[in-house]
Amino acid sequence: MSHNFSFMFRFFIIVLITVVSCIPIGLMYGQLTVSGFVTEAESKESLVGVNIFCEALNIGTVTNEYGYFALNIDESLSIDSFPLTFSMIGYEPYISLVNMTNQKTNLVIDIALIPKAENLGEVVVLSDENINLNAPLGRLKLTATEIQNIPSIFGEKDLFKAIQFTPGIQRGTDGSSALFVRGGASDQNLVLLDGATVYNAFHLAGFFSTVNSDAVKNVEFFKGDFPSGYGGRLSSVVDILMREGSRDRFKVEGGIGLIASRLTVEGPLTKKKNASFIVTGKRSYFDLLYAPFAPDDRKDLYHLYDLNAKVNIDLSEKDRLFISSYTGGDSYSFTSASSRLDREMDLRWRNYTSVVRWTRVLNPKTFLSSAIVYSDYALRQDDFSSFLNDTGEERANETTNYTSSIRDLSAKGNISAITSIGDINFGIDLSRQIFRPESISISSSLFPEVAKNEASEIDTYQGVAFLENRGSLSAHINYTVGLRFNNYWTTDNVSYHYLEPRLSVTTRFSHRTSAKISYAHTSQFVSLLSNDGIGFPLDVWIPATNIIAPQLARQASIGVFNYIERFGLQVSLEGYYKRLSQINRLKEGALVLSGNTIDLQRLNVFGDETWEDKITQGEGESYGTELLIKKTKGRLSGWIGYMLSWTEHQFNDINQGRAFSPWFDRRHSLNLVGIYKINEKITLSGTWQITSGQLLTLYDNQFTGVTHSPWSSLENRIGQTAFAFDTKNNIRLSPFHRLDASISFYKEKSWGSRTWEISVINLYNQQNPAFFFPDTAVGDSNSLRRIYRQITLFPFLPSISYNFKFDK
Amino acid sequence: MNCLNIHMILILATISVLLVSCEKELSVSPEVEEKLVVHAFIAPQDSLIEVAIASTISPLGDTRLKNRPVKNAIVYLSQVGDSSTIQLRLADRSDNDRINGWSRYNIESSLFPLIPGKNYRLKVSTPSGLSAEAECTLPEKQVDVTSISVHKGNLELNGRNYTRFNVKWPDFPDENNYYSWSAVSYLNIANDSQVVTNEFVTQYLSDISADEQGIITSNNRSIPLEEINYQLDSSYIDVYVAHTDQQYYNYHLDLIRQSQFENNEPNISSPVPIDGNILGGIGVFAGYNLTVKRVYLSN
Repeated sequence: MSHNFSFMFRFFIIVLITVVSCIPIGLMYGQLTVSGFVTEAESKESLVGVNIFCEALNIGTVTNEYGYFALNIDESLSIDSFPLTFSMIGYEPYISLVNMTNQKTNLVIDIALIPKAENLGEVVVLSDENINLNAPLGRLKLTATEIQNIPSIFGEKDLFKAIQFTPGIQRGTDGSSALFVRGGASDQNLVLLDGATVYNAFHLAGFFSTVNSDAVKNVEFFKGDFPSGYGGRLSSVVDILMREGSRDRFKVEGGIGLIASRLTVEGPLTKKKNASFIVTGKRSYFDLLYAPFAPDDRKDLYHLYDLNAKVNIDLSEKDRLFISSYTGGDSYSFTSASSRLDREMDLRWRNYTSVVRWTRVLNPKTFLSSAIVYSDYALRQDDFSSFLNDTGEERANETTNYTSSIRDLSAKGNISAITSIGDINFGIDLSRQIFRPESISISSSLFPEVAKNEASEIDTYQGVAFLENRGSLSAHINYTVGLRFNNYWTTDNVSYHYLEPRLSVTTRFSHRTSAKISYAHTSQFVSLLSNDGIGFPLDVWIPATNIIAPQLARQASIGVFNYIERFGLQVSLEGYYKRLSQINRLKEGALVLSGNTIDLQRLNVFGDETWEDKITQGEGESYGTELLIKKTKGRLSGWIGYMLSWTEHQFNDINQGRAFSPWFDRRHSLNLVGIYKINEKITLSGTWQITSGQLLTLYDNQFTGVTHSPWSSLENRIGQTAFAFDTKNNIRLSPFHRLDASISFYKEKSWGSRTWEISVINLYNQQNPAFFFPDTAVGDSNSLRRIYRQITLFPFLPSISYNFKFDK
Repeated sequence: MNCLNIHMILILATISVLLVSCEKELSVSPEVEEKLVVHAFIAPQDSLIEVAIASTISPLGDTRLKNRPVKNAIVYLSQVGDSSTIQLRLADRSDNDRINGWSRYNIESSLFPLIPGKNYRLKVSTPSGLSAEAECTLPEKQVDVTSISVHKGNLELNGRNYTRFNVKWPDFPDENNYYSWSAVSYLNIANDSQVVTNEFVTQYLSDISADEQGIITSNNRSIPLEEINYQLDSSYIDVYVAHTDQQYYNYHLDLIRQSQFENNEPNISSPVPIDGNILGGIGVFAGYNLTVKRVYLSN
């Protein structure tokens, strides 16, 4: 560890010297800087991604995630004044006349943008930088308003489902929010909430996300061209920024749905309005609805909950403090009582994140952000069985406790500066992660052999440094070049180092057309053990060890972008090639949880198997093309997304070492999203998706398998029914398609506003399969025949929800 | 079934009810190609060489059927690199054969002695054109009977008394080894007459489980003393330790895993394959070298 630390230390010193020496060189040019914060006029919340553009000088920038911007003006241009336009979808553009006369070096202007009135008769979708020809490849921006416009199951708005409708994302099980991005598995997506990792971003086996859209301010999604500041996952980053709360006045909003309700309270913390807070919560009522009808001898109770809170304080004109926290989880309990057996089972999984962030404008050209971040994810199962005799007394009992957890504490620092060579972004991130992949305790008075009390804990550390330069080679060519250095080590003296280059170049052919290329290396030191299929949130996070190497990826992408002004259409076409190596997967037949351990121990047929024994590593390859045609203006807006892709994986221990397509590899995927604003009160929206069917492995032969015992001949053995198949994923199911629609009725009230939303999932009741299981059916001559059954979770499904906002 | 998965199903079932979910028979089915199923486990210590032969059936069919017996197969066993070959003959059909849906072919070992360390080839063909073949190597090394130690202890649980035991033996160093062990306990009821009191489940092990001293330790097994009327003096255990080839180990591991998985995991998107060495068919042709040790419970 000391070796790693000294290595890291030397590396940081070198990078620091480089950066510190570069920044002043850039700053010394002494260009005039126009800088400031952009906020929303009413709530005074900072605005992220506001475009600031000076047409006269052909220069521009965007506000960062704290609403700050800085723009260099070349003094040699000798311009006395120029208009600076601030624009953002959903807000009235603002033009500020910048007067350069008598300015020395810096000019600070803070701008407040006014939201567009509701009655303009249009909505906007996928803001993606206001037709920014320089927008990076494979990047998507979403706001809470945009998420609200996608029809949702039971009216539960879900940003992950909104992301699923964009090209490049493969869907998992019907209804699941899990993302399979450009051939990557669902654990290759980093979900950040205010900068803290959310290890389990889903509730209820992935059907609902943990993110309350009422609390979301901005979402950025990266599936290629990752900025150097992001890392740790191979396939995508979902960076969610929570709202800060209104500084103007107290507001209450919420929603009542069929399965859950949510409430948000926000407001100023001080009379000076230099601080605000927001608290938002959500809870389901599965358990409350079911409990009165549950039989006395059996109760299945389930609920999910989320609670977000955030406080922000202006410590000075230059310093701001943000404290945000999130906790959420699922709880399932099961009790049963019979004459022979009493059982109690609790299954809980929980996320917790907390972030303390301090930002400071060091000088108009330089912005500092630093944070202490804590994340915690735990899964726990407690199972108790009491076996009763004829008189009802306990004759034996059995207890199983299972825990899996990961805790993550990190310190981050990030400096961004504008220099003569472009924007420089430099940061370091030091973190400690404590994994407890499996902690299991078993006791059984019936089977004393199975007694077990084992817990393994692995301490890992990561040091990350990154440096990125964004600039222009000419008036038409922009570039971003970056390096990200990852150093990972454990207390068991396991260490890995990776240098990840990132590069993207954009060429503008005209005001409407551009072409882009990008290349990125990514590495991933944690991975999720989960069985194929629906991805229960029983999944277990594991670290890289001396046996399990980190997962790696290289991705190259190329794209063209065109804006057809006449129709208000944005058209982008992207192609990508991604190479994955050392990717993890469970061996065939290995189960995630040791929930089956007690059964195996009872059989006493295997030696003990650790979680590392369950994993195999292999390679993967994915390539494809993505087309997006988007309309963002007018009463009718939306997009058409199409993806054509191929993905193959190869593991020595799976499919006899032969390459195969993973189950989520779907050749074609077409998404249509339409939002039509009938008037200021009524909005219609609909989505239609059709994709190739998922792959599935079905047994193609049945036979008698027999275990051998040396004291018994074959004549005396009775075998068991066994099955065989030639190759993995030998069946492709019928195409998946589904039409969802919703209509919302908005009305201003004396106390604020309310919205009724009626939505229908699967409007034409397509029977898309979600799960499969073997079963039997009565065949000819009343004999039973073996069959496979499919379950459709989301047939024609209407729902209604009521949303309100007290803000007057 | 795994309790955890049962409860996940219950969660989903609850939601399914809420969601008015639909269930129907899956419309797609795999293409079925009939194959020969061959099972043979050979050891130098066996008095009879046996091969079970069947043909596969569709997994989507009558649940009473496992596979089809093949009564007209031609089965040859030969030693690789040697001209000696012998044809096995169809054995009389037993009740278990009917249950298993296979035909057994056998030959006395005295007619074809099996030699440790040698390679053997099995060839099966049928008049209908099905054929399969496989090779296996009989492990050369046999666990020394004097190196096997049986460790016994007493256990009292809920008013019942048990003798609990496990078995230890040294691993063969510097090579990959696979083992199986099992035991049968007996009670002497008269002179030269005994009854089987327990047949213990076989455990399959690889040398990964050897400790730092290279000792393999089995899992525990327990004998309820009530079942032997506390007659320790009249009770003994025959411990069987087999040094097996890798194919023997892999096949059993997969077969048990598949069974576990089928019973535990309702989701069929990741079924478990069974690793066999039958070219053109399914099953296993594996070898082992056996050691038997008798231990009296009173000692």
